[in-house]
Amino acid sequence: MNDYDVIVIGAGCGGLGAGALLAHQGRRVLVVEQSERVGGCCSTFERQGYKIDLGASIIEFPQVIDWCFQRMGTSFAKEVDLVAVDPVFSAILYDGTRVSYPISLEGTAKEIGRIAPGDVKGWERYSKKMQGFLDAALKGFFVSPATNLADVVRLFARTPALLKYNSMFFGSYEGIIRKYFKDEKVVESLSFHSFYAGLPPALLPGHFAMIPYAEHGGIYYAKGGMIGIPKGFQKCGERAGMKVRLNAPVRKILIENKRVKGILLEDGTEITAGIVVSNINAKKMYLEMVGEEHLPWLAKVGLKSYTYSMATPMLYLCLDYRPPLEDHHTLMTLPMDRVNAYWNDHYLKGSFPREQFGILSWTTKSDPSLAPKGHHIIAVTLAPGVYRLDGAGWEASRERLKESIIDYLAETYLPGLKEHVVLAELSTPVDFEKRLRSPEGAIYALRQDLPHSMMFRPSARSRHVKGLYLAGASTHPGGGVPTVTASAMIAADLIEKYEK
Amino acid sequence: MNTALIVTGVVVLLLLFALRKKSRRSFAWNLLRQVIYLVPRYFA
Repeated sequence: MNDYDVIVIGAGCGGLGAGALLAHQGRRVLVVEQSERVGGCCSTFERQGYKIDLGASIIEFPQVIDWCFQRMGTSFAKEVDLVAVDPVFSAILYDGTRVSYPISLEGTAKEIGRIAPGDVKGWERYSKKMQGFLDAALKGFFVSPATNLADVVRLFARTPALLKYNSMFFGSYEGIIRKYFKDEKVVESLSFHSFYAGLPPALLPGHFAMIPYAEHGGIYYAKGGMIGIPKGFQKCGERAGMKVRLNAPVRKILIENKRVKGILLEDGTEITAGIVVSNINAKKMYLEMVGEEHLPWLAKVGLKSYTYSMATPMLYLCLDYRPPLEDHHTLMTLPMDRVNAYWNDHYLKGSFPREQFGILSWTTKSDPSLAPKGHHIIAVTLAPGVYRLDGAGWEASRERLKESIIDYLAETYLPGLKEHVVLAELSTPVDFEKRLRSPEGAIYALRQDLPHSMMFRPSARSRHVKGLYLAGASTHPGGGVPTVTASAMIAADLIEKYEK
Repeated sequence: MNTALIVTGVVVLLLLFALRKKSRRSFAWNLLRQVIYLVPRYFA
């Protein structure tokens, strides 16, 4: 008899969600995690009394996460103490103009009218279109498997309304935004959202242009830090008997007669199970943990052709003053053309400039208990930073870059910052790789353009190894907390169907 | 022969019109250069 029915590799939201759902199917589940804490990118660590979010700083599409909890007889709101974030975001534009978009659609129309009266109609048309797309996409696209062509045909057959939006899949994010908005300031305020899916506006498929609209469906922060969300899944799973083992890195997935038989940990421990769910980067998992000897040549070509998604350096700032910001999320933006140019001129060439754009996540605005009284935390999501930094590399440049970015922020978005920094830590793509074992620090595992999507992304049910399933950012529907939660539901459904 | 030339010309003109913006050209090029990987990725 096997030690467990299911072993899940990786205790991110996808892994814990899948583990919890499978435990609720009555299976004996073990989740193994290489690091000392759960959550992956959606996690929180402590430094000198400050609770700092590692990556994710809010969640969108709360209904998707709620569906997962509902399957276990509970709800997102019951399991995780959530704080609603309103306004959904502010933006400080390159010319210094400030905009603040509230959750209400009417309020946002009013704010757009303040900076560009001619674009109010565009906002109304955009909202209508995106709401229609979301109604079709959430139920049809997010939680349905896309393991092969038949699945994708079924997906569109079940939700034919999606076909109405086919132009969104074949156009770019930029094309969709520019179709509805003419004013460059409005366009700029919506430009950074493309990096929520990992590509600049010119390269990201158009259906992601629903992100700025989708935020108006509600965005939330987890009280106590974003780790509250994976811990919610963990609690739910443990109630059904799921076990979680931390500090347990996996060396190999054991295979016999083309079927998984368990895992081998780095410390030499062998744990057996008839089903393994991988919630780690699929390219790394297949090529290193499964081994090329178990893969047909065509699959090897396919796996090696995948491009890792972008990496994002983060600057964690602990402060002894109230920062001069208004909202939980403040975007530091550049005009859309400059964002596209940044990708070609800096990201792809390996340089990381002093002039920054990105997100200022003022987490203590939503939960003051994260820091000592009167102190604050800002997690700065910096511009995309390539893994192979030109010149001396990330490690040697760390202190210089940190000081130069703090100087830049103090001169631009956060006056007074320099005198009030208690603690500052720069997390580079190399740090993310070490912490999360995510190759090249990729935050969404693999790119999220069309040739890396749906049936062209690694299949949630392995084609090569029986009993091997995938969850997380590497498989359909992709990266992001609600998205990997959807992948957990898909993996659990497939296992229920194929592994009686 | 003349018809084939005219059709080709129209198709080329339509393509040039569709790709007149730099952002559209980069989006199309990104898709095009990955086309050869679609079959192996389908089996990954």
